[in-house]
Amino acid sequence: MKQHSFRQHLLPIFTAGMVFLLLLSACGTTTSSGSTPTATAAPKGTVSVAYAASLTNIMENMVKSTFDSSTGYTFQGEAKGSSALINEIKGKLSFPDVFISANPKLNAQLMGAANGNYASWYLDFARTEMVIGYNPNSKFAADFQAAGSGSKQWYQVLEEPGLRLGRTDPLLDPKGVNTIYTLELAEKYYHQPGLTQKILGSNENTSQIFPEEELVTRLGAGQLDAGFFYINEVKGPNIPYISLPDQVNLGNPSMAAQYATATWKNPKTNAVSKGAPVVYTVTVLNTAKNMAGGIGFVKFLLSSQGQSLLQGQGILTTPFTAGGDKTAIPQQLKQYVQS
Amino acid sequence: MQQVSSTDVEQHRTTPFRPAGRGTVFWLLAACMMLYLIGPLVYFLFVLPWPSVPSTLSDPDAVQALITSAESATIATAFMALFGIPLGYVLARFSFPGKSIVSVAIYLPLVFPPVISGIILLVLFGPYGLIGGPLTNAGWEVDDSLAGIVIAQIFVAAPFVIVAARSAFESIDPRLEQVAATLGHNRWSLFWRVSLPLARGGIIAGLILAWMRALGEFGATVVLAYHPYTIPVFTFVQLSSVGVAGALPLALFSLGLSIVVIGAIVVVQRRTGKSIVI
Repeated sequence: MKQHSFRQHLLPIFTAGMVFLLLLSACGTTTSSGSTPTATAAPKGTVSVAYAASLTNIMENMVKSTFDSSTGYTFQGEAKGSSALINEIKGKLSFPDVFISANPKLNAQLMGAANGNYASWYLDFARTEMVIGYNPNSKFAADFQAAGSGSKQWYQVLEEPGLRLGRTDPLLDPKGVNTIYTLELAEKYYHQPGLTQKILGSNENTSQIFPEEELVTRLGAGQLDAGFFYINEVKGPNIPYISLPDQVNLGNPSMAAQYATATWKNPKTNAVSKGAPVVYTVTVLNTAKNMAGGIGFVKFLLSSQGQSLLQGQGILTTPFTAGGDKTAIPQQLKQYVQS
Repeated sequence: MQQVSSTDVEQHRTTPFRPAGRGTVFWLLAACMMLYLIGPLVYFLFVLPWPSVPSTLSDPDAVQALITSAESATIATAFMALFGIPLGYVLARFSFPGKSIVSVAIYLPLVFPPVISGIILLVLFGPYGLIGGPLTNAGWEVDDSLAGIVIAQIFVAAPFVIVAARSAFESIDPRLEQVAATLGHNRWSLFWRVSLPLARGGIIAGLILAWMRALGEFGATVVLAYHPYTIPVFTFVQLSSVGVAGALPLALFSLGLSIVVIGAIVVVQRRTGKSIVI
């Protein structure tokens, strides 16, 4: 009897599990037999794309299916903060074909012999702006609506006592730093000295900071009142948001000089960086296993089909200007590059 | 074929007895498993960027993460012992309606994707959550605090304690408890004086497993309590911000902590002469 106790536990669990799986697979069969195949192009292999996590919704729910069916490649995405992705590539933990960054400057960390020559060039392909996304069930929702219609200032809502604000870690991803720039610019634009400190506490205020992958989750789970996001992160999932004026939203390239007046000092490295328009860049890594597929993916992103997919999600257009070694840009992509 | 009586079996327990054969098959299979588990750990020591070890481990943030990890895992284990051992006992000794459902349910946290566990706990214990809301209003915020870490750790590690305690209680010869009951022990004293001491080995093994699982817990913790950093969360932060060289050395903290605790158990075991588990 003693020896059988283990088996006695496992048997009902095992049986329950098998029944559950059978039911699931039965459901799966009925749905898959009901759908019609959409792929038109012949299968050509996998393209691995490491991209800034603020594009997760667009990449996984829009780009993936369209790219796969129109080119025959299989998109395989990995979403993380741009800086985190660079560390993974350089640490040989991740071997993507394509790298998409939310900050053009970060590409330099993959370039040159000292950095392992992972990349030689990059192209600006999209732009976005900072917005404040809020929880429609929050007790501050009416105030945010008032701010959206202009009868209240957004920063006054953020200053209200008890409001739970979320933002990403400035040490881990560019959006965390962009949040700080946005508030610094707002401080000047609205003539509100001390605004940044009033709203953020400290730059590294732990009660506001969440990993990029978790911030939308927290807001979606109703545990935050508001957060700083890129417009494309809130537009797709239908999260209500407040647009900010161009002077502070980092979305207007012609205001680059004004944005550059905002600065942030990295507390770990003491390096000082300046505000800049939020531009997404793409490159095919020199270490790509599927070079043709990587180039095919960039071509798709730059195509009118790819661009209209992005714009449908709130992404803004930008000229496809190149950075790094322009001569290294693959022949198939040169037609898109604007000087 | 010779009949084996129960007295023969009793004798074999006390007098050494060697079956024919060297057990080569067992040794081969066991060696594969050992190599599979120990190989990567040894290789870890080779790939570890040793020059960056002192600076990484002396970082005050890293030291604080070590303290947070040790504290939270220990508090979580205390809670799991307080509530998990009784649950194991109830499952082993009582029958009640819905027992089979409970028996299956206690395994589910093990198969739940940790991120989902984290989200569910967040919806419950977050500042606007069902339980977290009233607590927050009372001035006690549980998410993003040591309490949040402990809550996440208990959820993912408690099955180890419950299952181990149940098996340990069930493996006690029921006649021993019956004899004790006839000697006048009530349920409470039966538990303390007979069942618990006899089940001790298995329960402690379960508690150690649970403590270690809690120490390594990442998926649910990062959702419910990103701050204060535990070793696993801080490792993720370092990997993202500094890279591999800043992250790998942190595993030495977890290894060291485990070796200290297991070492302490071995010492206690030797001193008291009581075999526990290791």
